[in-house]
Amino acid sequence: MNILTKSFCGLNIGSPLKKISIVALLCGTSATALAHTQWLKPSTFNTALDERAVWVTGQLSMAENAFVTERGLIAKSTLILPDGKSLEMTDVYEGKTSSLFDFELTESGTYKIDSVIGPRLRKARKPKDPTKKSRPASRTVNRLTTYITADAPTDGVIKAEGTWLEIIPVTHPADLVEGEPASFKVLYEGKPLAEQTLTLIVSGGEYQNQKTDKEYLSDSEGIVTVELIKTGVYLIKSSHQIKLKGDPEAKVLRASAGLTFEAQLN
Amino acid sequence: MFNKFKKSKLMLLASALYAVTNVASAATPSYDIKLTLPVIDKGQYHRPYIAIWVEDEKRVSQRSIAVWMQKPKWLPDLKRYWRRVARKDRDIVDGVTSATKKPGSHSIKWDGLNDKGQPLTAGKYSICVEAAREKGGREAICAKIDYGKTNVAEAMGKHEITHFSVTLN
Repeated sequence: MNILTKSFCGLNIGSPLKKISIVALLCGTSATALAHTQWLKPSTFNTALDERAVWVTGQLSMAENAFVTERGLIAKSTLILPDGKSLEMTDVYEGKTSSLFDFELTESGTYKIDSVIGPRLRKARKPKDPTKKSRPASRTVNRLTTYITADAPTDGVIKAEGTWLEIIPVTHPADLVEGEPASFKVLYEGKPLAEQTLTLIVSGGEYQNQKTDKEYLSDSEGIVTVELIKTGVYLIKSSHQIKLKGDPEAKVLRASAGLTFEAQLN
Repeated sequence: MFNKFKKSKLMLLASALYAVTNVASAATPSYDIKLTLPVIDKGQYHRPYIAIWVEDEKRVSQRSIAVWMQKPKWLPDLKRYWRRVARKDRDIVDGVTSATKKPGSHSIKWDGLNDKGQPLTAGKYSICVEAAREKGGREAICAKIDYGKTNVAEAMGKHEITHFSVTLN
């Protein structure tokens, strides 16, 4: 995101935090919108099938800190079962501070939730205040994914959908453990993105004085390897901007992606 | 007549078994395992779920020795054992499962064989124990051995396990 925003806005500034806020300011985008993190979280990541039904709740929200519920998020969510069948989540509670949907785990293996927000049009802004820069019209799309494993993990659902920006686990999400490295792959329209910035965020940011977010740059195959220092729920996210040609309404497309996972106790 | 026949057949079986185990013990190092669980009088006490297993240097489990538990639903709380073994091989777990045990010292035997009943290849292994308690904590510790060479290995726990030791027979 930083590289592309930088070239887009013609900026090159020091620290990541400054970078984001200043870029936001000069690009004329709303600082609140940029600062807010959209997230998806399942009620469990790893579980066992039981004689009794096993249910999982997916939750979507956005706030300054990941996994804090502040504003509801409307998305199209799809559950992909271990055998590859997909199920659209139609019974979604769209609350003021978060959206919720339930689903039952009926077979063992790894499930995927794929929640897509947008694409939608963000209108151009021409501020009355001449010191503030205007913002061109853009299209935005955000894809939030997570994986849930019942009993033994399977690989069937761990693949790219091939649209917009995606972060796909390389290390199986059921095998992510504190103190061990974890690899992810970033793709745009199914193709690996090199030199793409990914941000790793751990839960509990609202209880920290300083941001602990870490940034990583993908290699030539679109892969980043991160160290999971402590247990907890993590979000790894990225954003990619491309110029739109022949779109009468918008000049750029901003595609974002976020993958939620847990680093388990060792 | 019938009794006599049964008795002699049993004797035969017993001596055959003795011969088999004798051969195995000559070739395979076996270990006595001692696990001491603490008396916890703070708060509500439920007996811990316990798993004892042997893993190689790549942390691949070679043998599940014992699983003490009640309901399979809580098996994932033995987090490391769940990841290494239970989530994939429920049959192996079922084969070594027994009821949960009281605080105090417990003796368990490991015949030195892997899950398939074969001796392990020479090398370094960890004999691990993991404890998880409802309304309580979780702890996992390992005693490291050089298979058949190490005579005694032990590991101390801090919370859910007092002491864990393995002794070569």
